[in-house]
Amino acid sequence: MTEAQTISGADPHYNYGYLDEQTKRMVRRALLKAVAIPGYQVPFGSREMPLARGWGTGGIQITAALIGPSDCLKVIDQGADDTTNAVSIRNFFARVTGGRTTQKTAEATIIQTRHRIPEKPLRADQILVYQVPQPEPLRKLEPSEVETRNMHAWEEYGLMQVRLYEDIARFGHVATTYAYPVMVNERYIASPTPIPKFDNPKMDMMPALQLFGAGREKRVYAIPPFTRVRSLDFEDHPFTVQSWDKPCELCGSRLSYLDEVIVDDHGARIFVCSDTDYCEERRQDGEGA
Amino acid sequence: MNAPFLPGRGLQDPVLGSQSIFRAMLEALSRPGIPVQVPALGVEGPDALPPEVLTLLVSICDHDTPVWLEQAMRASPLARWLAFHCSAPTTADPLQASFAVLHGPSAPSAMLDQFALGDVCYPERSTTVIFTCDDLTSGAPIALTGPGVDSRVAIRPSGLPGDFLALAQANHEMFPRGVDILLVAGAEMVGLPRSTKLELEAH
Amino acid sequence: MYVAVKGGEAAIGATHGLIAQERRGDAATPELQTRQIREQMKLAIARVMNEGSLYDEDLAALALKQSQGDSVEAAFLMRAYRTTLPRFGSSLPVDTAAMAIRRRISATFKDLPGGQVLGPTYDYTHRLFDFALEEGSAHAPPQMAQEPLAATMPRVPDILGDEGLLETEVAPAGDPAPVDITRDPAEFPADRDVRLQMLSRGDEGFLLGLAYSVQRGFGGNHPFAGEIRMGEVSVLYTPEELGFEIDIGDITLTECQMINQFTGSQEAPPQFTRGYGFAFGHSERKAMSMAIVDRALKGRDLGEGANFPAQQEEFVLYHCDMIEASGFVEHLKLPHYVDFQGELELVRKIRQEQAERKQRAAAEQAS
Repeated sequence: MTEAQTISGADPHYNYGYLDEQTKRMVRRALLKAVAIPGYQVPFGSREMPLARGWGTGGIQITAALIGPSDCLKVIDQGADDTTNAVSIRNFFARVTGGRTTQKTAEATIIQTRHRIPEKPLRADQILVYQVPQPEPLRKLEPSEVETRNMHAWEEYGLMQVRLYEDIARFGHVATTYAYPVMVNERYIASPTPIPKFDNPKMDMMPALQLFGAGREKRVYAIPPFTRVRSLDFEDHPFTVQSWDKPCELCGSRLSYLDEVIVDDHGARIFVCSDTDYCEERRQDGEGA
Repeated sequence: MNAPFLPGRGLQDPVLGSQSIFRAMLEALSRPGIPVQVPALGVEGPDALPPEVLTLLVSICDHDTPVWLEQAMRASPLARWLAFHCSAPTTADPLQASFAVLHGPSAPSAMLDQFALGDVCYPERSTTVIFTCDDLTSGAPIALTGPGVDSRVAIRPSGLPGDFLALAQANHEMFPRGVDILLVAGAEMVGLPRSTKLELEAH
Repeated sequence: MYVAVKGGEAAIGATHGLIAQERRGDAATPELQTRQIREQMKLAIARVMNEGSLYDEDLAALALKQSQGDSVEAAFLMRAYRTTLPRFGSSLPVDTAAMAIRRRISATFKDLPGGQVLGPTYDYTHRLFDFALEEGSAHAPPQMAQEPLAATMPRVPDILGDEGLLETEVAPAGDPAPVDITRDPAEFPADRDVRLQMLSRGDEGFLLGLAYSVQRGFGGNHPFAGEIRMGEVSVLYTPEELGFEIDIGDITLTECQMINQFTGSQEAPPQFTRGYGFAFGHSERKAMSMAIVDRALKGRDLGEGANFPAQQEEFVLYHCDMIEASGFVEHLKLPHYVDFQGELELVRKIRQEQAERKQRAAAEQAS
């Protein structure tokens, strides 16, 4: 095999995208199977990365397998481009690919995310890569991998329904506000990752491809574009999302997910958009305060 | 013993070349029915298979992925070409195949259910089948629905064995088990993952 | 108004400078050389190589220096580097019977062919400070034996095995190549190849605690140290293009075979069973712990049940890897304010609804 060419701007000490080509092929083959079996967790030979397990190594391996010179990468954590780990991952890819990065949702071809889906609707020419801490939606109900694998195989999802219903009986609500389980293509229950349930409806029939990487747990899964993603609920207790009484303090949006920010020592608080690019764009367009 | 082995050309840029091919394959399998261009990367090899198919194989295969080929092709310089350019072994056992190539109208599409179909606990352990056909525009229209398809899309492949549709339908019925198909016609390919439902479009 | 939206990039840059300063310590003190670490911190090097899954004493020394002696952080550096290394092939299995032995003891026999070889160990030292080390020490040279040790020393379990008293270890049908857990994810239930690989790079402290729990009664079988040996073995490799094996160097290994009593079952007569431990460098505590846990996890095959933590395969194997464990525990330092916001909103809502219900009930009672 010929030596990889040096790509301008990429750190010459490492292969393009950090992973060696054989590892990329392994991840790629797993991803091709993942899109063919929507919502099913495909085991893959997850490698140790220079960022810690639990800090996005699954998403990083997927991005490394995807990324090419024509891509433009955006990385967000909690919706923000400037949170520490988002910065760290973006810098990592800038270093090992020499490629373009952006903070603008509209400019990105690959968006790697932790815990949010951008507010701006994603397009068919974009790929959303989720970092996944726990890919198994049933793990908290059943700690054994042998058991949960069988439950998925035979669609034995009664345990999940029972748990959700117990919540309703006890609290009047399903007491899950993030990582709220979804049914993908009416076959596999999957974890949407710890996004707030506010974001769940965006997954349904999304024009963009959604890929999920769990590095420590060594699983990838996918939701192809235009795939039915249904948040589990009951007829008498339909799925609902969070809402706020106030708009974003900065841009005035009433449609976005808001973070609560404590602004003084007496606990006074304001609410601002968690999606920093969305908020900034609205302010530039003259919205808000 | 045989004619001298001609290595032809593999990927000139194995890093970025295979990246662009992978993205095309990912696009095809995540958007069934939408034709995707196979990037032309100057791959040259035995003419037993079209260069686009060779390009796909050298980009995604390696020594971890046995490739199933028909007996005649296995005995041809193609097997050695594959081993030379991507270290992929060829296999006569369809159940061992990570990838398989069914080429042309004479290809035994009845093979589809002979390949690895995965099991219900590990459905991903199945063969990806590269199926060549003449074109994607002049055959009888087949309507596709399912994940990746924006409501409904039609393909018109021609030059496929007569039983192709019935076998691809049977393949879908086994979901989550089943093979995944890439239909390649010239420089275009269309993905038909097992999740895709196929119906002969009524006129 | 304070809203910390921007500024992460500059702050991260500053942490890199600060950690470099911390690492160096007082500049008036001579800087530590990696060679010194490699030669004088051998046991720490061994641990980093084991948990880092890579035999390279120089890199382990650099890892320890770079991580200020944090063995988990150092092992992590080794693992991340390992990812970038191309794979040329697999070595042949090492032959520990042909080990150039520096230490070999058995607790099950008073004497045995080849003898007890105490070698370098802290076992018989008094744990009293040697204050002379503070100023640098000129130690007296050790007294060497007149006769060299036998080139090949039978492993104690092999001696016992001849009588049929000890469980025989048979390769699975066809003797397939072992799964490589660094390339394929482990599947459960795990076969022994997977188990031994996962244990061998598992955290020493975690495995030690589990081994201890077995001994105290949370697993209930008493292990004997059948043999512990440490020394150098040759690594042989057959390059495809050569077609014959070549010696690519020596590595230091510690091997431990634990022997456990097994009462037998309806079909099987009573015999001894074994657990196997293996580690890079001089790592007896690790090898012993591994052997005890390996034996505990054999319980599934021996019909012993899995009532105790050390017998529960997924529990042990999923949680013994300190790179994974520390990454995931420490990821809690990452921001989680989006998820937390969801919880906040829910808790407020439930509280409010409860309060309203109580109010209504009180109002109904009053009317």
